Amino acid sequence: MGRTERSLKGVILICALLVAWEAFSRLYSEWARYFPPVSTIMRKLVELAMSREGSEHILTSLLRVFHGYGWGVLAGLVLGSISGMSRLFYELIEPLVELLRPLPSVAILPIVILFVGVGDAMNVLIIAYATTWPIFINTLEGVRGVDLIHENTGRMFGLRGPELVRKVMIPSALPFIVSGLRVSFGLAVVVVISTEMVGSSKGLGYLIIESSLSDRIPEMYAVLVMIGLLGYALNECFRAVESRAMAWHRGFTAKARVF
Amino acid sequence: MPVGAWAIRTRRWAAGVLSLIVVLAILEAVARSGYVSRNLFTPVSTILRTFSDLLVTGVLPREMLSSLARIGAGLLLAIVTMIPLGTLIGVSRLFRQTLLPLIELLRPLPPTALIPVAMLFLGIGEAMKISVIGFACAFPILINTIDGIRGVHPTVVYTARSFRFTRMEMIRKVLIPAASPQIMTGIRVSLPLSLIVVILSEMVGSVNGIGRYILIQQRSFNVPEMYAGILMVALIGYAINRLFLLVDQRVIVWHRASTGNR
Repeated sequence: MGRTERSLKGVILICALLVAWEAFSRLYSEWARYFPPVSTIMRKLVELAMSREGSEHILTSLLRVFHGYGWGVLAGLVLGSISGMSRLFYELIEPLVELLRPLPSVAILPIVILFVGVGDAMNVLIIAYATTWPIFINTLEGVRGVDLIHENTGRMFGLRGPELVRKVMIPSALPFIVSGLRVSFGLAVVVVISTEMVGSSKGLGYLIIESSLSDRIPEMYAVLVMIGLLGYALNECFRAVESRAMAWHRGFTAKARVF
Repeated sequence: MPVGAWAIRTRRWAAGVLSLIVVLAILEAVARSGYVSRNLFTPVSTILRTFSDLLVTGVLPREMLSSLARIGAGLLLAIVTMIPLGTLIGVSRLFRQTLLPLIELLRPLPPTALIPVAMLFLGIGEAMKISVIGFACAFPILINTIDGIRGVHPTVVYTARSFRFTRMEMIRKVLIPAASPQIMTGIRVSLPLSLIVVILSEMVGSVNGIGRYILIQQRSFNVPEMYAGILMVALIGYAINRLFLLVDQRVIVWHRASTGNR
């Protein structure tokens, strides 16, 4: 979606909605329990971000995301590139992969709790499991989809072995791999919040369900905003890295548009 | 089909089944060897027996059906609201400028983070789960509809314009059909998300459903039942995936025929 056609209209709409919310909860105080004023939520948000306890929850979730994602990336890349290069290997693991891949990550939560209990290890393992699959599939497609003409042209110019991999295979598979990395990164944030709701006594997922159940409503909204901001910030970081690393590829994907 | 292709397919199938059997046999052997506690690691044969018992007595189908009904309702909600909205945003610059910032603001929110909020308003009933599933499915469908509509080739639009299509005709006969493969992609992307949301929302607040079933069995140390429940989810997930690929292929075949691409 074009980032250039931003105008003030969208920002005005968002501001109007926030003002309407604030006015509504101040005018109808019987609803203020469910809709605390935006100003209260924001104050709570700042309080939370500044407090030691709040930043510990944020840091816990962040560390789990990176830790689990790291393992997922490693597993996905290794499995995916081996499967992409060796048909036999893929045929051997295919039925297992096809059975495990559609299994939603939170469904294995009880098994993981059974083995490692609640806490860091459980969250990290489930994030790693969830993030492995998109990277695996995309790496597989990317490695398999290397154009035979490109490969043979490389060979003709005398590239072989590691050099062929570095100069032909990797650049040609990279766009696929990056899209897998992006999907998985988004998934990691969803999964960390989800697993923390069921099995953790730390992290933003725990904090949001805890504050909802114990009726600390402004705090619940504050955590929700914080989770949104975190998701946004992580996404932007990924995009920044991606647009730097993949600048050479942008020309391929430009499209004609009427609207 | 040439004989060679058939032979290759059979070989692939045989290799796959063989490796699956080997993995299951190893798991069975490890479980029976006693190195890992029986309470954690149930032999595959026991899991399968429990699974078939629970299937016959109707326990698993009942829990699974209530989860699937929630997914269906949430997905339907997202489809009927987001395809029209996405079309509107796709064709109208005004809608795009007004609504895109709000959408981009809400999009990075993990859908499961809304479960506590929905619980506050709607309790732990059906409405809570369906609305969170609807929210989860909304973004992939919306974004893909917008992109699909905007990605329609200019020539197609100009041709329709020169035939003096009205706005409604343009949307109904040109834009939505042309965008349908991408809309299908959006729906396909949203399916695994909806499975995550339904299972988690059942774990956090529900009286039934497969997510709650699995968690309750784990908490009461009925380990074979827990594994059987997870097997059920895996099979259903696989079936949904397969079914969708089938539908998707039909749409794509039609689309390829209409655009002349091979």
